[in-house]
Amino acid sequence: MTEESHVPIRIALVGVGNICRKRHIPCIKRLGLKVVHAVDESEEARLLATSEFPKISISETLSEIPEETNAAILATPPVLHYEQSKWLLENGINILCEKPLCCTRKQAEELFELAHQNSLVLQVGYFRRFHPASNVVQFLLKNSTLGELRECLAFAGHSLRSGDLPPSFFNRQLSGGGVLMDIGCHVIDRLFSWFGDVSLVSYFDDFEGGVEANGFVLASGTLHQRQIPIRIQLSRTHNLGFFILLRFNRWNVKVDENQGHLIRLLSEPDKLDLLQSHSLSHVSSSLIENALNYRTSLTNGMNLPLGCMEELSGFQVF
Amino acid sequence: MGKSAVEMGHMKIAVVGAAGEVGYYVIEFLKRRGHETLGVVRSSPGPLLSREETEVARIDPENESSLDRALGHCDIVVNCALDTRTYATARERVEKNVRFCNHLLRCAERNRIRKIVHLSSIAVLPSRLTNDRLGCPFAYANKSDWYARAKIETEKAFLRIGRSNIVIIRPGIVYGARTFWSRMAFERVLNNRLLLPDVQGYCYAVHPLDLSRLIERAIVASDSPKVIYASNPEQITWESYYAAHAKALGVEAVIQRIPVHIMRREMSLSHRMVKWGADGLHGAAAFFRTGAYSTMKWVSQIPFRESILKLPKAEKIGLRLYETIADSAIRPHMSSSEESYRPLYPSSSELEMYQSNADLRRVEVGQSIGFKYEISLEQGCENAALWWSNKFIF
Repeated sequence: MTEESHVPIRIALVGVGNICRKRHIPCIKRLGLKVVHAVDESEEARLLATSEFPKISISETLSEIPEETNAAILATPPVLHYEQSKWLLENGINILCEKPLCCTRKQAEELFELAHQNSLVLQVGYFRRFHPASNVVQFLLKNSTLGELRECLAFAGHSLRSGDLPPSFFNRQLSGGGVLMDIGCHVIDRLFSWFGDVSLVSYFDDFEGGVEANGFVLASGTLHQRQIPIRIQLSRTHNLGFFILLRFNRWNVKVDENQGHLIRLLSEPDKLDLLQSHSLSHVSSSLIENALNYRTSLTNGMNLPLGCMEELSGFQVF
Repeated sequence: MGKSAVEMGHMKIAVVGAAGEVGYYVIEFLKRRGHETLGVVRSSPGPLLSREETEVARIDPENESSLDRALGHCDIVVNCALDTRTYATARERVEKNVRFCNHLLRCAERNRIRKIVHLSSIAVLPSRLTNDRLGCPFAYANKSDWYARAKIETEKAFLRIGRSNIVIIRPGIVYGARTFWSRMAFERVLNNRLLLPDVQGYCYAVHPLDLSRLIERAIVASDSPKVIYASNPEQITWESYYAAHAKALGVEAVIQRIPVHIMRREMSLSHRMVKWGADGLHGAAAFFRTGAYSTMKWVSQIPFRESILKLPKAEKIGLRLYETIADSAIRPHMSSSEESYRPLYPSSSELEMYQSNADLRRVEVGQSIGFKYEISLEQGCENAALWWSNKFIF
């Protein structure tokens, strides 16, 4: 698709669960994109989709997606991503896939290759890399504005109650993994976007045959030809918060994973007193940016937008 | 230590409510002891239970056939479940729990369950527990809070059946890593000046590992008493309970003893003022916000205490007034070093609890089935502190 062809974007929603309803549908409406079809196993979810978009068709399976569809937003459980993405790409449909793209490196490589061969867009929903704060950090790292970076600490965790989430969330066969797959991948993607190259030093978790609830990662990122130690702590049982702390020689920078418009500058490296908060306001939310990037990729014919290459790199590391 | 699974002979034990605070401890302990277990949950196993390849059955509490499918191949049932979801009224909350227990009892009958261990609570008895009251174990308290009422009514449901294969366990304060009582204690000692009455009161604390061991013992014992209290015989006072939690965090608990009659007087006077003030404010706000009908509905439905808790922040003026007045009345009894901490006034039911002086060693705490408590308050708090401080996540 190119700007000259003016082919309108016609979206199919594949999986109309929590993530789709809370994140993607508001973005779609805000950007005025057209939805033509919804696919979900649950009748309740399908009916919900029609309540949001009254004129769309609905189905239980992908095979009934109308031919006019040229884009899909895939928000099903991770273990289904590979098969569903493969089907969509083989049928010429561009994809915005919720993270993670799939569950193994081999599957990711295959999908990447398939998208490339068919000249289709395959974007992964790592919307946090579109945070304005993320851009500021990239600038600070590139220009060593705050001195040399000494280490990077990332914390992502909150105590989940069993009643809060669907059973599939804790089922390895359906979710594909635990805390690393769920929130760890967001952190790792951010680090890739900042450092370019991240290598694993060690990893351990509390997996005992099911899905891990806590994970600890020691990694190393390359910056200006130096190796920067990275420590990531992930949890579903402890309230760790969701933030990344970058310790520079002169200052510390704290980036909240869920407040992408805010960047905190903290005083001396060994003190964590808040010195200044910079609010980077009046910009679209990162979710909108993510969707915009997808739309731009579709209309400009760009392949491999952000997220896809890094997903592969992430699999390479882990 | 109790018989292991090998010594007991093969039995499959279903732990209902295995994803809950206590249920997880119980199922983990039984698994480590080599028993075949089944976790029975309502919605999902949660992050802890799902770490392992534990057999888990999801049930619909309203549907007996789902319970039948779950318990079909089980020999023992340990019921740790309590539906804590919010319903339209407290009464409905209680009724849901009783209904579930009745379903469970019928299923147990149909599936020839050999023994049921039901986790009740010491909260079924009056908040201020004395030796006299302890002597009447089935003289239930007349309490209005839904938790106590649910525990009372569900216990009655189990006792009503009159079968000898049912054991009721009444734990006291269950403290330890991941528990509500330890979380609350840590928050309080870190942020508050604790006001306790000037009488010695016991908290009847028990660690969930000791509770789990007691449950196993009750399962094994051929002749268990009908009701067993679960409380560490250390005779832990409320002051030492808070102090131990503070010590485990490396801080000192700021505790002030206030004469009971002063606490009562200030609480009752201020509570009346708060009630008038809060009711008036909330009523006015509700009227302007949602109209006369909603106001009338609110007035008829919500009891005083819940209405305070549901007040929007801006409407808690009455509560601040109460704190100011009560604080100025109590301040003469404080030392200046403690003034930096925000004073924490107990609720009226907490005040009653703080005055409990019953000696639980006089009743059944597991001694007749050869059970001995192993975990001291200090040990339990240290382990809980590691969890609280995120230092020992695994």
